Formats: sequence, C-alpha cells, structure tokens
Amino acid sequence: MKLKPELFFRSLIIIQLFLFIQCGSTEQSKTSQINIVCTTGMVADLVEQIAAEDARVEFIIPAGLDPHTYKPTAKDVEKILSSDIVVFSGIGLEARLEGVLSNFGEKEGKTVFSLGEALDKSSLIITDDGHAVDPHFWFNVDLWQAATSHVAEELSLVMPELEEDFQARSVQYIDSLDNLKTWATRELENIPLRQRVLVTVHDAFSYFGKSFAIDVRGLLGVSPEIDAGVQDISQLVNFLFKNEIPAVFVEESLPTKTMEAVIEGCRKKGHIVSIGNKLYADNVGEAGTAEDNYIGMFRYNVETIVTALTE
Amino acid sequence: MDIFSNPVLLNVLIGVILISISTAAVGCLLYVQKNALLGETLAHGCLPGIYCAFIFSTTRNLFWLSIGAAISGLISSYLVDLIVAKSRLSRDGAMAVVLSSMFGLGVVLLSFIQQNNYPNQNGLEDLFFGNAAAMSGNDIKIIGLISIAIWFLLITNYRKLLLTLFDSGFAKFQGIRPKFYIAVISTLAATSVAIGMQTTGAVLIAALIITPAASARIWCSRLFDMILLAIIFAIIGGTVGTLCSYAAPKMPTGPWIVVCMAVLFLLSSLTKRIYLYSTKSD
Amino acid sequence: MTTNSCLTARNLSFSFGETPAIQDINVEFARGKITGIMGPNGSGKSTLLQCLSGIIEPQSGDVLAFDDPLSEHQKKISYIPQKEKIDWDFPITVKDLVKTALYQRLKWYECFSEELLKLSEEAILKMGLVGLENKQIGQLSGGQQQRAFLARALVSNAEVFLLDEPFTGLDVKATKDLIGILRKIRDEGNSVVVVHHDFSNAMLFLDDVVLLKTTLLKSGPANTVINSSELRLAFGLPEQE
Repeated sequence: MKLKPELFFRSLIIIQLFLFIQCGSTEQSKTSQINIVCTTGMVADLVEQIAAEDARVEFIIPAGLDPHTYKPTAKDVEKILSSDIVVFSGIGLEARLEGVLSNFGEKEGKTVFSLGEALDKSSLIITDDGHAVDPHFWFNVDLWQAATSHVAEELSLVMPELEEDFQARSVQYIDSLDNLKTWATRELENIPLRQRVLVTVHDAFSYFGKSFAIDVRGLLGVSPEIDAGVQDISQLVNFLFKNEIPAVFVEESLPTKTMEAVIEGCRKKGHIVSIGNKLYADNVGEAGTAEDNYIGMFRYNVETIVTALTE
Repeated sequence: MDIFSNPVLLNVLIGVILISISTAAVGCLLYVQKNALLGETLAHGCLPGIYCAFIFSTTRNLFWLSIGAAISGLISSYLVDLIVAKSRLSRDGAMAVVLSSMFGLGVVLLSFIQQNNYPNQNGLEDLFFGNAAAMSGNDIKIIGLISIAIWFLLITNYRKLLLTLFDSGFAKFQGIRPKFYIAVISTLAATSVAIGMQTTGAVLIAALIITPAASARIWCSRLFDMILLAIIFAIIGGTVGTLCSYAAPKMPTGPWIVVCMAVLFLLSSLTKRIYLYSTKSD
Repeated sequence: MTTNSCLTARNLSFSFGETPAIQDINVEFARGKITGIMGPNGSGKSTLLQCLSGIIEPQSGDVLAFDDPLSEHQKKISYIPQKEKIDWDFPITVKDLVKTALYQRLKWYECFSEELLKLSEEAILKMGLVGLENKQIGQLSGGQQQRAFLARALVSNAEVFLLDEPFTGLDVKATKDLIGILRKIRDEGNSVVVVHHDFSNAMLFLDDVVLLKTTLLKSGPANTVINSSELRLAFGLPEQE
C-alpha cells in the first residue's frame, strides 16, 4: 500500500496548519484589554487611580513581604513577561527584580517605567555614606503627586485615545493628596517638640521626616538586607535612653526580633520604651483593609505615630 | 570598655558563653570519637526540622524551632547509621550524603515558605549564619535551661561515656551498654547544635563544636583536662569574637567568633611547637 | 572451684557474613597455664579469643568459664585487644587507664578513695610502670603499652588473661620482659591465653598450644603440638623425615 505514508504525512500537515490558526486566533482574543503588572500594592493603587477600568491592574509582591529583598517566583516572571505594561517604584527599591524588568523592557511592544525615574534629582535624599539614593520617596506627598502626573503621561503614550480621562483623574487625585498633606501636617503638630523623634526598624522615613519636620532614625540602613550588629543595637539603646524617647516602631514587612532586643536593652537601663503599632514602611496593607491604598496607609501611619508619641 | 553598662552587649556575651561552653564540652566527646563530621551533619540536618516546625507553628519561637531542629538532627544521625549498616558506604561517605540531602531539603522548604507568603517568615535565613546580636532575655533563659540539661547528662554519665568512647568492649564487661551511651552522645550533640544555631547558624556551628576541642587536645593528655581547657578556649574565643563584632557597625557576631576560635587554634599549635622546640634544645 | 579448665569452648562457630571464621571448636583451656592459640593467617585465632572473652556472641555453641556459663564469671575474664584495635590517640594516661577498671565501683558523684587509689598504684608498680603514670598511652613503648593494659586487668581482679598478639612490634628486650610478666601472672595461680604467631619463642613460655585453622587441628602440651605433623600441614611445610 504505497499511498498510505503519503496520506499520513499530508493529514499531519493539515492538522498542524489547523492548530496554528487556532493558536493565532486565541492570541488575538487575549489582547482586548491592556494588562498592567505592578510590583507593590502601593504602585498598583496609584496606577489604578489613573487607569481605573481602562486597564487590568495587578501586583506581584504580596502585602507583608519586604520589597527590598523580594525575589520573583516563576509565576511572577510569567506574569511580567505576558503583560503589556510593567510599573515599578524604582530608584533601587525592588533591587532583586531589576534583572527581570530590564529583560522585559527590551521586548518590542512592551512598556516599562518606574514612579521614581521622573522625579527631580534634587528632591531625592542621598544616604549617609554618600552612595545610594533613598528609595522611600512616597512619604513626601509632593513627590507622590509628581509620580501621579508621570503615570498619567506614560499611560497616555500607550493609550493616547484615553489621554483626557487619565489627565482628569490625575488632577482629581492630586487634589485629594493636597487634602491628605494638610491633614497630616496638622495632626503631627500635636507632638511636643522634645518627642518629635521617629525610630523605626530601617531607614524608610527620611522623606517623611524632612516633609513634616520630625527627626528620624532607623536601626538598619536604607536597605534592611544586612543585619544589625551588636554595636548598632547598643548605639540605638543609648540614643533612646539619653533622649528619653517613649516609643519605637516596628514595620509590617520586617522581623521584630532585633527591635525587641533594643527595647530589652533600654529596659535594663531603666528606661521603658513601648513598641507602637506596626507602621507601613515599604508597601500598603492587605487587600480589603482600610490601609490597602496609599491614602489609607498614610493616614494610618500618621495616626499611629501621633498616638504613640503624644503619651 | 564598660561592658556592664551595656545591657545589649552583656546579653549577647552571656548567651554566647553559655552556648560555647556546651558546644565545647560536647565537641570534645565527638573529637575523641573521631566523629567530628557529626556536628556538620547535624547542623545541616537540623534545617528541614526547623522549617517544618515553623510551618506547623507559624511562629519563630525558639522553643519550637529547637525541638524541630533536635528531632531533625537526630533523624539525620540515625540515617547515617542506617546507611553505614545497610550499604558499603563508609561513615564519612554516608555523612556527606545525608548532610547534603538534608540541606537541599531545607532549601526547598525555605523556598516553599517564601513562595507561600507565611507571615513572620523574614529572618528564617538567620539560621544559615546566625543572628547573635538579637538574642533576647527569653532566648537566654531557654539556652540556659538546655545547657543545664546537657551538663547534667554529661556530669552524671562522664565515666560511662569515657569508657564507651575509649574501649567499648571493656565497657560492656563493666555492665555498660555502649549503644545506649553512643545514643546519649548523639543526643547531646544534636541539642548543642540546636541551641548553637542561634549564634553561628547551621553553616558555621561545626566550628564552634570542634575548634575548641582541637585546640585543647594539643595540650592535654586526659579527657577531663581536655574538656576544661576546651571550655576556657571557647569562653575566650566567644568573648573576643563578640567584642570584635561590637567594635564596628553591622558586624556579624557568629562569624567573628568562629574566626577568633580558629586564631586560638593556630596560636595553640604554634605555642606547642615553640614549647617542644625549646625543651628539646635544653 | 576445683575444675581444671578456666575456659571451655563447646561447638563454637562464628561467621562474618557468609565466611566462617571458626567452625565447631571444642577445646578446653587448662587452668593455671599459659596457652597459645596459633595458626596461619586468617585461621580465626582472634575470633576465637573474642568469643572466649564474651565480647562477641558465637552463632552457635557456647563458652564455659570454670565449667559454668561464661556470664557468671565475666568479671574474672580480662581481654586485651590487638594493638591496632586500640585508640592510642585517646587522651588517657596510664593512671587513668588503670583506674577505669574501678569505675563500676563508684557512683557518679563519688571520687576515688584512698583504698582504690592504692589498688591502682600497686598494679602499676607490679607492671613496672612507675614514673610513667601521667604519660598519655600513645607515648609509651610497645612493651609499656601491653603492661599498662595488664595493669588494668590486674586491678579488676581478673583470673583469666586473654591477650591478642601482645608481642607484635616488641623488640627482644621487651619481648623478654613481657614473657617474664606472663610467667609471673601464671605463677600466682591465674590463667593466660595468648594469640601468638612467633614459633621461635613459643616454646620458651607456652605450656599448651591450640592449633587452629578455622577448625581445631590439635591441642595439647606445647612441644607436642609444635612438633606435630598437623602443624606442618597447616602451614604448608614439608614433611619431616
């Protein structure tokens, strides 16, 4: 039966062609809505304020995990590579994601941008040792406003037909941020001068301190990767003891063990320091809580700080 | 240096000294048993147990983690014995197999924890290199209790342990069951590894166990003297290491202690050589 | 006890896995004598000695001590292993080695009494080790090492001394000294069994010899066994005219 092999291969080719066509059509049906992947919930919140229902926004770093040391999982990389736009906070916050993000940026038809890239360099804080830039810029509300405009601009480049909507939402959001800033300044003025010191686990609040005239001090540096040594803990204990600071703060995404050693050290010297509630230093809270967005998170932080330091 | 007015430094020193004393004593037993690799095996073998304990209890309470560590460590040493008995593999070959497999399992469990976003998980990597600087008063209480238990076992069974280690045949004639006392030694080793993980972590704890013993053996002809000298070396190494880590910011305490112990070993060897040389030429 | 034998092996067999080391050994070791266990390499001499001492359990057969089960007189049997089996690096001095025989008399919190210390000092004196008490065992000469272990056996009030190749590595003088000591031990009414390999001096001190090559080939007075045809056969030596 000489004809049989020929028939077999011909039908194979036809089947393959058929499958390719099917694949092609499913790919087309996927791209009905723009897919935006963000790093933290906080970045996603800002993007959502501008994009609203015009794009699908999701984020990969869960609330409660530290963005400084977060390593992307295989699923995260998949999400990033199959999205249309990637937005990250930038200026060094998501240190371990940089490789994936630069890979993504080199692909055609994909957009990647950060919130921090468009900020005025003179408004950024350089760390004590002169090398790194402090990435926690969002605690300066003015800078978050600048980021808002930047998001609107970048989204307009991808979806120019929606530029008017983006700009309108941007203006509205910047307004509400103005209200936030006024409220926060007023609240924080309630803290007496001597106790205007914010001690946290890592140096995340420098921009906050500068904006609202509060001294800030972190146990660890700007990036919490390196643990505190015996000297760092001792020095903080002495600082708290000498200045009679009543409260320190722990953070949502970092371990409390080292700060507890500080509290114990103070107690042994006869100075009682209480641990204020957890502050949100690098991200917003769990979805569904009042703190799962920037404004909610900010209000919570301010209220917590004021309560603990006005005792 | 006003050590006593710095409660943080004092805390860490007390913890380090307590741990070093226990690990040094147990280390002497492992050394004469020619079983130095057991420390390494137990340390790496501890990791899966610690991560499992974390997954079940979702806390980083040292008590539960120590239990997980001890159980997992004991399973590792049992596996080594099993492999030696049932296969042609030599003892150190079996240890290498168990050591690396358990470590691999530990890393897998850690990834599982990280990927599934368990709360409080930050800092579990501390177990690789330790985080002595953050020792709390509570940690010290637990370490103290466990150390007392180790010491109690050691002191009440000292002669039996010595006989088992030196001449198990003779021990049998004296009515001692060598298998039981070997198990006691393994338990002591697993327990001291479990409390030592806090200071130096899994990767370096073997150094805390063996180095003081090796330094002491150079000078001592009797096991009892060796244990005492090892403890002295451990206290010196632990104290100097901790003070070094205090001298500058961001210094890790565990690795500094290991370095100081190693330096002590070098000094001990050198001194002995000089001593031998000078007595020869008399 | 009025028996003539210190140790008796009955149908003793022991195998390492598939390979039999000794098979169906039936032999009596005379009391108050020095008996040598001899034979070619791999003939099971050490294995036999270990079974006799109680350190290993035979797969079949049993061992009697003074015509009673071995366990009843275990305390009177002392066993000194082959040189390679001992950990000479172990941090233990001669004095401590001897004292280990007295450990079972003390509770963990008790220290050595004057009485017990004297016992160990006497044993050290008897074995000619005075002045070496504080030396680590690895620092002794071959002969001193054997004597140290004998001192330990003395302190345990042993009546039967089992030694596995004690003359390995000893020079002429040390060999002579050790032979003298074994004779002294025998003359005090004790029994000695040695695994021995040197025919040149065997006749000098062995009273009886047990010839072994997995099975028992011959046993009896030394000169009978050593000059026998069984021995020549066992070692593959040519027949004597």
